[in-house]
Amino acid sequence: MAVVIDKKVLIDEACSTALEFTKLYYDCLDKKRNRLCKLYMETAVLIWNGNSVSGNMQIQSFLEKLPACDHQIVSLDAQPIHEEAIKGQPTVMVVVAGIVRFEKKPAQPFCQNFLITAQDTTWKVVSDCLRFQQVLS
Amino acid sequence: ISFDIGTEDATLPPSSGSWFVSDEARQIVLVFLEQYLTVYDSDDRQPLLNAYYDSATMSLTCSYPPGQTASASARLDAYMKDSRNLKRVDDVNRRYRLLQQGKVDIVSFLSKLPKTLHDPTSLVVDVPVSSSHLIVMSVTGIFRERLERHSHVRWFQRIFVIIPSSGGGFCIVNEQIHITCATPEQMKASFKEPSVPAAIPAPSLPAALPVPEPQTSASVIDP
Repeated sequence: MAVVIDKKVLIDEACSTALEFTKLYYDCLDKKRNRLCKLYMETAVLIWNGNSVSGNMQIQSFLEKLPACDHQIVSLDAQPIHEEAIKGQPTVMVVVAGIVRFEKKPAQPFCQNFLITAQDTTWKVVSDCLRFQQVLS
Repeated sequence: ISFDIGTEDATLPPSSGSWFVSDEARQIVLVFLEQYLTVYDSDDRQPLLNAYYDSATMSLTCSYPPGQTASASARLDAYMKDSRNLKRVDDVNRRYRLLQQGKVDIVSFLSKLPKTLHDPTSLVVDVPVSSSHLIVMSVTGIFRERLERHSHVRWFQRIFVIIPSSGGGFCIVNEQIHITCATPEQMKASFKEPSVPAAIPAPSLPAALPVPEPQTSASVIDP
């Protein structure tokens, strides 16, 4: 029984973490890009519409070059990553769908997913994958 | 009279196709996906039981594009009641229940979703993480619901976390699917190739589709 309760707590915590994380993340991306590097692990990987960037400073610098934007989150989901895959390091999968408006451009639907992991007392992004809803030519 | 602060003509980096952190990961993931989607697109999804870890978890979300009112034919009713959208589902118990837990529940859940046919040319695969104990893959693409009268076209994002299984292949420990309506542009571009039911010839994942050797197979379906 205790195991079931623990699992339920873990699942609930993953949801709260995801809600808090996405609020912070998109606020930074829309308004405080100079702080983004703090959210990523030093060895984090970003795949932005097929463009890959690794390293938290490099990721921040990539994102800082994007035109000003405004995100609206339509859907959010999260699960704790199975303990078999992470060997005791709490890790959460966060899945987002929404629309982003870049300066002077029409609203663009997108999907994005993150793996965030507990590093000491803070959550850090391990991987970040984003794709626009578009036809690749 | 106005101020001139210069015009910052920032443009978006052009999008490109699938990205894999390593060739090895690419090989494993493409074999995995081909096998998985072939079964998923067939009339019987039960064999997917072999693709999941015993205590795997899986959840689904769906949403309409904001501001777009869905026409009757585009309704996502088949998915909406199971959508675990944390922006809308506040209740802790409901959040718990909407997370499918264990491979039997997952496959029974998947078996109730509409029958599908994926457009292999639409699949875009990103693999940001690959280590000795897990691979994270994110897939986006187009599928069609195989209904008799209507044929709804959907855009999806699907994330799998897979780990090496004791049998030598890989199995899924975490999965999330997001489903939305395809845009008119996507509908127009999809299913250009003659469709072959329950088969993924995968012209876009191509050159790369290696034939796995029997012993080192990345097989998820028949480990």
